Amino acid sequence: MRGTGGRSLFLAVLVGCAWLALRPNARVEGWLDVALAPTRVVAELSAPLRSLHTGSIFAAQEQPSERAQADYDQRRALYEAEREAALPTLAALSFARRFVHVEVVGRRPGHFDQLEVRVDGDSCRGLARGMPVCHGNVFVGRIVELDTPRAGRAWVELVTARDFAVGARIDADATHPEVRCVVGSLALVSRASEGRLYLAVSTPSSRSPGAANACVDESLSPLARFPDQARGFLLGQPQPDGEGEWVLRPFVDFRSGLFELVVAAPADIDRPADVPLPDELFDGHWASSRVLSGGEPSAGREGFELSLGRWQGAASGAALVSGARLVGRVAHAGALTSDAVALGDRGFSVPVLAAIHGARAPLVLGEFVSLGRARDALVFHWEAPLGIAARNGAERVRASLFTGSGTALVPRGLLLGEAWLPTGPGPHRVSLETETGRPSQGELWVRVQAPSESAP
Amino acid sequence: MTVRRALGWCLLLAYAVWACALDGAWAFSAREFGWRPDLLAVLLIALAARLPAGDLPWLALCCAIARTSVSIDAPVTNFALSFGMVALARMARGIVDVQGAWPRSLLSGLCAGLGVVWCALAQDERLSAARLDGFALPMDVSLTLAEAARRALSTAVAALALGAATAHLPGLGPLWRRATWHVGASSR
Repeated sequence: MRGTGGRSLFLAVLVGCAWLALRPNARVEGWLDVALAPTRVVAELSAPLRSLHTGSIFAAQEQPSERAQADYDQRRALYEAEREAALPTLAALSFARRFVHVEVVGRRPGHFDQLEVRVDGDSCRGLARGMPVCHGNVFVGRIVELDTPRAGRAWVELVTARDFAVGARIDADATHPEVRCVVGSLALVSRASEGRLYLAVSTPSSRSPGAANACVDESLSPLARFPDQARGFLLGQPQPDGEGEWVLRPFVDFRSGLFELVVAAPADIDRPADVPLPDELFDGHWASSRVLSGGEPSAGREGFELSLGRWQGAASGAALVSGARLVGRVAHAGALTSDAVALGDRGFSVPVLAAIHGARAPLVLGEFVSLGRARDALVFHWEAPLGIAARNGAERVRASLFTGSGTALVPRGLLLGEAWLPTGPGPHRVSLETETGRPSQGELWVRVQAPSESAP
Repeated sequence: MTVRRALGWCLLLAYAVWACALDGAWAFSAREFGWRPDLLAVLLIALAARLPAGDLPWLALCCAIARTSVSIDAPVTNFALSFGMVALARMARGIVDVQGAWPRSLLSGLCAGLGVVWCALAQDERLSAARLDGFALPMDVSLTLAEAARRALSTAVAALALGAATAHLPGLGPLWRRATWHVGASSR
């Protein structure tokens, strides 16, 4: 810091870096990544210290092959159960329809109410715009585009979209008449940040609906293209909004709880028999990577540097797996190295699906956000807008947790661990017991967009 | 720049990487009780107390690169942290003699504690900016401050225990030992 010029430059760097740390700028950080690419060599300097760890390698990497096979079998069984749970259980809803499975891949950039879905068999043949999309007995939206952004994919507009409209009916009961109305978009009382979403109701034929659930009925609409296929699927439960009107409380978590859906198509569509989607763990879109650091020096954080960067196909948000277990995600892909955050890193988030012990159907839990580590368990924040119904009076249920769909580069069905889940609506804190510890010299697999030569 | 000084900077980079890596390797086991010194801060302050003022930016750069190579914090966060620590040391050495054991230890502890708060703040800001749905993770201020206090205390103790040994690591001497005519010409 010789002279005023040197001191000014020093202060400019300090203030500039501090500003960019608090107000991230992707373009500047991209250039900085390229400038720091040679630090890939510097990271190798820590190699002698990587062997200092004791008891720190992934249990999943050390486990015998039978255990790994058990993980894969559990994953496969979960997928089949998830597909079965996506089908309607009411006989009236299955009649004269053909259900085509679709898996949620992500949300449309700039349109949170549109889902990108991957169609069974990677083919949209026989499907058409306007076909209703459902989960179990619940109506969630309609197909709006087919074979975009690529073949075998489609866009589904959710009932929560601002200009969505679907005819609905609430059956009469002893004291209330039948009510017809139009349902679509979010009600004003919704608070997404608190996990409370309600569907708006417009032009109701009566201001006092009964206790019956609202279901789709577009028989009066001359514009509806598939009224017979949509009829009868549930929309929500009528509730007063506190301002003299009423809204619908949905039966699914539209914010983060849509993983496996079905398209309700006419029974006679021209489409070959459905072929389940191939297991993403074996589709070749993986690259092996080494852990360059032995742990995270920052207090309260959990993560590690990986020997795979953007130039080798790594991308931010990509899953990091060992066997069939999720170890972490790439938080930031640099030019030649990447920063990966482990499950215990505060702020780590993942969509979660639970296999409740003793129950066949899996349960969609929605997004889990890590609050960090407490003793041997990882603590997660779970919004639980719908909650879990108490079983046999128990206040909590034991479950194996897996990743759900809907997050780019994170395949569904990766094992997270075991947990006791509290019943009732949230928010809750969940302690996850996981066997994945801190990484060491072992090899991990990173999900990449371009196919690699081999798979885990 | 002489070969010995160039070698000194390379060795400093290696020591800094090892300090961070050792810190990280220690992190998992130390998490149970939370006491873990910031070895990079100890090394940085020990050298910042002795290096000529003109070399301090290079010290900051060296430590920032070392931390970036093994840490998952954003590079700009690490750069701001290292440059901030050096700026603090520069200010402190204009007021007191930070080569003494106690001032050096206190300064190391202070830097480590502030480092914890800074990294937590930057991480929280980045998490909030990345979320599109408005969900805000409840920040546990008391937990962060407790972690910062533990980190500061353990770093101060480590700096006291190590004494000036960190500045005397093999190969670092040429960075801070000045020639006789330099000493004679210097006002300080």
